[in-house]
Amino acid sequence: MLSIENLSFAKRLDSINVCAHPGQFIQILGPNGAGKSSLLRVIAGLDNADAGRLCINQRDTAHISMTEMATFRCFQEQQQSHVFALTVRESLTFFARDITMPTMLENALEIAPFMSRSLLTLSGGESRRVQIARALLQIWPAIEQGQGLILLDEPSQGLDFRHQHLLLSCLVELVKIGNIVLMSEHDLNVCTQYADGVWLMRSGEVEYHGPVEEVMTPDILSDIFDCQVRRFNDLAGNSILQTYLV
Amino acid sequence: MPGPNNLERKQKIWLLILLSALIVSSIWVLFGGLHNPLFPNTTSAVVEQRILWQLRVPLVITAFIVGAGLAVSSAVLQVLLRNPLADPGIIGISSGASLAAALFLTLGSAIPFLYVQYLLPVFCFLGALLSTAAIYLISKRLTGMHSGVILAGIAISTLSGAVIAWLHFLSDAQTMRNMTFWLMGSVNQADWKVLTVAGPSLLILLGLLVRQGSALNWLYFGASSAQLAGLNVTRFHKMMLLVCALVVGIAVSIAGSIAFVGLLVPHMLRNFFGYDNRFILPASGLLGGIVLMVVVLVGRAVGEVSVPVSMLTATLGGPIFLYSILRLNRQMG
Repeated sequence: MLSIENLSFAKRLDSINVCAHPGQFIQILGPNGAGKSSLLRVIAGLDNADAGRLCINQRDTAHISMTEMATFRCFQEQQQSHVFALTVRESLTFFARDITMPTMLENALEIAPFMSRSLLTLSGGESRRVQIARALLQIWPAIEQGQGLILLDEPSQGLDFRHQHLLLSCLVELVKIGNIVLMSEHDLNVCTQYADGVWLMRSGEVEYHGPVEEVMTPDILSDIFDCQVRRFNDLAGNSILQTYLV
Repeated sequence: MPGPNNLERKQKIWLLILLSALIVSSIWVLFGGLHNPLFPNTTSAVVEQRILWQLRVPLVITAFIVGAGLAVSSAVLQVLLRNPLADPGIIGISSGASLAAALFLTLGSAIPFLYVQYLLPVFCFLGALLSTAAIYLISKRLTGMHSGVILAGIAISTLSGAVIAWLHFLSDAQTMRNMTFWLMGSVNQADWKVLTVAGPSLLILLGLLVRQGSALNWLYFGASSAQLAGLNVTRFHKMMLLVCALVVGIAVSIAGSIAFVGLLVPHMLRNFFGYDNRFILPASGLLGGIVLMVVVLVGRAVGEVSVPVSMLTATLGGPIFLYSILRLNRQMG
């Protein structure tokens, strides 16, 4: 279980109080600059909080070594630039304990076709898929045991919609065996379909958090994003959120 | 810690091949042109034995530790500074060390010769360290620019070069000759006295660098990826820069500033064998040694006059480097 108490960081995060249970898929939602990436970076251990506590399974992360964190926590960062012409295979083997790609991951990310290509020649979406694979492979043994803390910062950026669905379905499977997924993501509908909890952020604060159906209401979303949101049902009865300016 | 530490079979075989090549070229440098140096029974053979022990053995040791030192430290610096062009020569670490040596030789002419031998390496190291720190700090201010390190390095190396040139211009004939050595490099200068200190220290430092393969593999992806994989990046950066500056400082103090080996060797290896530093670092050490042995042999074949090493490394390395980058270009397209 991940619990965050009164966490503040620089001028970007202000007394955050939230928690995530094993087997929860949480989407972090909010306008640009709300602090989504900052929050993920602090949870990942890349930045140190100025105040507050961050606990994983009742252990304060301040007392967990970076080496130990690296075995159960992974983080796919939003930005990634490459200057060396490494192949996709190399980039994965440098971080993975076991070099063989798990079938489940390959089915979701489909990176086998460009395994021997240079990272510099990949398209944006292909590059993102490799980056996600690299992050997950780093802690795959923990993920298999349902002990993983998976942090993803806009993972679907650049992915075509088929691969977005493949990725999210794969994450749902990982959550089912006990892993925690925290994902920052802008798409409202993709997430109501897959996530089961939402942290809604604005100006460095988590203003609403809870189950998707409670938080993702047109009123709350319109208020947070300062943009109109309405909900309607399609012919099959699925609820769809539509956004528009007045 | 994640990341398997075992080399693949193919990589091990290549390391063995490189090691054999190093041994063969060393033997060639040691015994080339000598007839019977090991079992002296004539006067000429006694002379040969002296040549072997007093000149050839120090030459082989110098060529190996300097070649290996420059190649391995470049291989490390390229990843550390995230720039495939990093080379102690290009980014100004060697020229900083050379400048310190030149300053010491000009200003310290009053110091007894005995002390010069031991103080010079210290000055070279300080020069290397100061220029490394300067490059690091300047490039940090140019955040978001991959070429920041190169730009800072060019600035430092131009400045050092200018000061050395002025010292050269203003100095007397003997100092001028000494300085040519610092500008062009030579593997024939080191004797046993210097090598007994420099040899073991360089080997220990190289041993330390060669073992950082896994951590450097993570650093290809930047500081935060390495930190996420469990590396204390700030400490690692500082330690590696310090060790590299030490290695380059010592190498410059025994062989002057030798161009291009550092850039060429790791670049070529990565181009042909991939980017795994667990292989690239030891392979760079071996190939760096081989390259300098070959340079010695070519120099010997060219004539009696000792040819400046940098002249040869550039002559031989230029075309190979060109081929190597063209090959890279093909892979990308």
